[in-house]
Amino acid sequence: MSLHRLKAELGAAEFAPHAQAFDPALDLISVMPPAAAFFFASTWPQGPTGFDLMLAEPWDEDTMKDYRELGAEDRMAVLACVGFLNHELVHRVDLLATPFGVSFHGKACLETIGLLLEGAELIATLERQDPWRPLRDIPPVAEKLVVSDGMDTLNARVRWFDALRGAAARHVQPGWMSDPGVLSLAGVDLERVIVHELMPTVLVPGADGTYLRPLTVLESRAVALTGLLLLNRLGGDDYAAVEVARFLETFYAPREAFPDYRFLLDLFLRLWGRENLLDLAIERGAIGLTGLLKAVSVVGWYGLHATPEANSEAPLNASPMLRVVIAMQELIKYLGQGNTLLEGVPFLDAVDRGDGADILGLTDSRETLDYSLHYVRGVRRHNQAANPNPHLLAHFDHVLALQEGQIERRRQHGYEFAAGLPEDGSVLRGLTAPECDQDLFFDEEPPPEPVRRWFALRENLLFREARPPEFWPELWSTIGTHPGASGLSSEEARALALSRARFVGEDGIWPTYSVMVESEEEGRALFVPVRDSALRRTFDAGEGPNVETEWSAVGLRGEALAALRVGFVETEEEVRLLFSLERHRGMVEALIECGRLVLGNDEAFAAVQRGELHPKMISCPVAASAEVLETAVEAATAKALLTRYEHGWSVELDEKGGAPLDWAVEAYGWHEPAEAALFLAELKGKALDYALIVGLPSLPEPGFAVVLTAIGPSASVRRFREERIAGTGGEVHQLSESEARELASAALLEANNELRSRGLGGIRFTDLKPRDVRLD
Amino acid sequence: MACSEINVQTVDYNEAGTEAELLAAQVDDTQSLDPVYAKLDSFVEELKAQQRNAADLLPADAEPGVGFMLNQKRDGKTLLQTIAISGRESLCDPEGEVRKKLSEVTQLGTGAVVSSVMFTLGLPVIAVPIAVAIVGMMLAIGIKGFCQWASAPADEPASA
Repeated sequence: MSLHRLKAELGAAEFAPHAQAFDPALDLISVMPPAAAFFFASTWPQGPTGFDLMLAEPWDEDTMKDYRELGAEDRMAVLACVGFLNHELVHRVDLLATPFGVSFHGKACLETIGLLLEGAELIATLERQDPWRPLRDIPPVAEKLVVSDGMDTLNARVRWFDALRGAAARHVQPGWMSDPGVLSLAGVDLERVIVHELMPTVLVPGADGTYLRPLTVLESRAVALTGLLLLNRLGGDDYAAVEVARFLETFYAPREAFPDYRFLLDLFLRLWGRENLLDLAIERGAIGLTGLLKAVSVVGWYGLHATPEANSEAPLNASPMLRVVIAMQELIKYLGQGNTLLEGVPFLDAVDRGDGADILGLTDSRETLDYSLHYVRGVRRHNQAANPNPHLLAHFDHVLALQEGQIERRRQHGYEFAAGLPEDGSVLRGLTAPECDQDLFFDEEPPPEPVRRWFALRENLLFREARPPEFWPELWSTIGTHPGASGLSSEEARALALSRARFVGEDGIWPTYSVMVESEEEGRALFVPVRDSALRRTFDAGEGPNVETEWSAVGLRGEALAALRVGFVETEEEVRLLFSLERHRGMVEALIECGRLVLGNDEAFAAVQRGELHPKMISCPVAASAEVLETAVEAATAKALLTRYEHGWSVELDEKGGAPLDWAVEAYGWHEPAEAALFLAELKGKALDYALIVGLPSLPEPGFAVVLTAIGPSASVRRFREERIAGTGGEVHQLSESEARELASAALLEANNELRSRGLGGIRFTDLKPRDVRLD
Repeated sequence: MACSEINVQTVDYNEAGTEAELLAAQVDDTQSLDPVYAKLDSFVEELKAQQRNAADLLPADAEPGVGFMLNQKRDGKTLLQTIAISGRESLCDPEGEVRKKLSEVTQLGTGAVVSSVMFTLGLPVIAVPIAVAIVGMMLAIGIKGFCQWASAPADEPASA
């Protein structure tokens, strides 16, 4: 085994920040160079424990003698293996005991709940229309800087996390708002950029588009504190400094390959006037290297005290990167005043009182910790109340409870925290009260597999473009899981998730296929596109156009509710027709006026009749029975007619919407549910070949409860008859033009009679052309 | 996104298969993975020009972590190593589609293997060069050699 092999192993070792888990498969000892492994075996005959490795106590003379006798590569391997665990624990502490950590896990929790409760329809749309597109690349619905609810907020969180992980260059724009140019820091000009229009930061010079991000702060602190630990292990003298500097230059080189680890170190090197760490250690010894490593950890600690959320008065208060910049500027000033000794906590308190913090409206540590406590408690309560997935609920509750305890303990002490700013680099210094602190460092149990899998799925859904065959079923099985719903197939889970979705979509994402339906009561969008299985066929295709729809309208607690069920749609063009929002009035636009557009099934309609159904529950692509539709249509008719009157609605059809169905359109266009006939005409305007009107004879209404259209060859008509009508009691007529006129005339007459009997006036035709149909 | 703007990309798998065969021959000739790296290097550069990250085209088998020394360098070699880590399990599945297609490569053609890699990893159309690189490597050193290499992706596989 060689140092190269060890580096490869360490290069693949990761600490999972969401799951808070170490890499379980890591076995460093087995890949250590033999001499280094022998050093370990002789130093710790029983094998080193975590405590052995993470304490910064200097090795005794014998151990140091053994160490010095090792070859250079072996010594570096020893330092890597000794420092590894401390490095990972710095991450854990930083993510569990700081306001940034509260923000990280809090946002992850809210994002998860958002995806589970509100994202199903968005995800379903993504799946059927652009399955390789990461959720991150869906543009925000609204151009608002501050969002607080619904899909806008979910979208903002997704972009925030992408900014954290390292967004692609297309999401990185030059300048800070209206303030372009460079930021000069430690003599280095840094290009200002903003990521996803959310995160102002600077580019790391020579790092191929990498920018200063929270990960930079996390890694810099882990490197710096572990460097301090190793320095103390080796005795804290100048020899130790050179060894540690060599270790850092060995493992974090070339610097362009490790920008997150090196950026702050290199900036500080410039302050000390050196090009690399070895030069600094050789020329300024342990004092110089200690000063540099402490400075990095202290400045990073300041960055991690950004508030979890910004407020409108101080929007930059939530930016870890800007806090790092402010702290660095203050440090440069501090060193420029001839100070050589950096005391972390007093220095950071002074930064809070400095001009930079004042200008940006940064809050001091106590206020930040107070707010963080308030935030974490709020998120935790929300998680307990709203998270429908038991594994994820338990995971977030565990993490948030841990954070709550740590932040509560810290709030009286501000920046002072032994595990965050350990003098000797060992985070175990923070283990002052084992009964309280043990969980901060170690979990008794690793996170369960469903939690790990969720964060992998999330990564793929939000940020990746690959979609292996198992991806969608696994995603739906997770999203559709809730207490009492175990053992569902992925299809069942998918249906469940969709039926539970609170917000099912908004306009602006795929406007061609979607429609915003305003509800006066809620003021939110509720929209259901063509169901997934239909749209799948849309793009697989090929047999020619074929659309079948069934629709109806039902009354629900005084609110009109329009329900649409799409049988199957086979071409893109048909989808466009179905959901066209062009200037002329289409079926969907007519339905918008009714209030809501949802999918319905037998059970749903029955529930409506019983008054037991909330609209959001209606989303099952099962055929509505004639009997249920009959009642539902009747219930809605009066309300729908009133709605027409209130809107002064008149019919304007496309010129192409001519015979043979103009008559039917005119008649049914007035009589609820005859918007379906409008739709029929609209389809006809796109050159349909056949139209079917299906009457359900048991209906008391003069119109037709269900209007079904078929476009294209008569095979589709036959298929419809065989597959959809059989057994429902419905009738199928394939009409000639003259039959359609006759039927429409009769329907018009009956519709007028119906309207007059209800005191609603009647329809007066001044011309037979649809555009002239208007209300009395 | 209006319907008229939908750009349906297609893959010419025959052409992709020919590319993979050519790449395999180059690996054979040079007894190194340099031709594979070079192909992926140019792909990474192409993506950079489009302001995209190559790693975002690959499936993740776990949440990305923070770590002791995670290399941020983005080139063909690191991309191939990333594929090895995240795609090893599915590509090397004894019952998997890729092995099946490879065993029938003479009847089905190399394009079918490229297609099966695309399917197995769920790659988008733009990522065809990644599948070509993997198949080229598999043809050159065999699926067994590929899977051995992928279990501990060093610079060179033993049999290259």
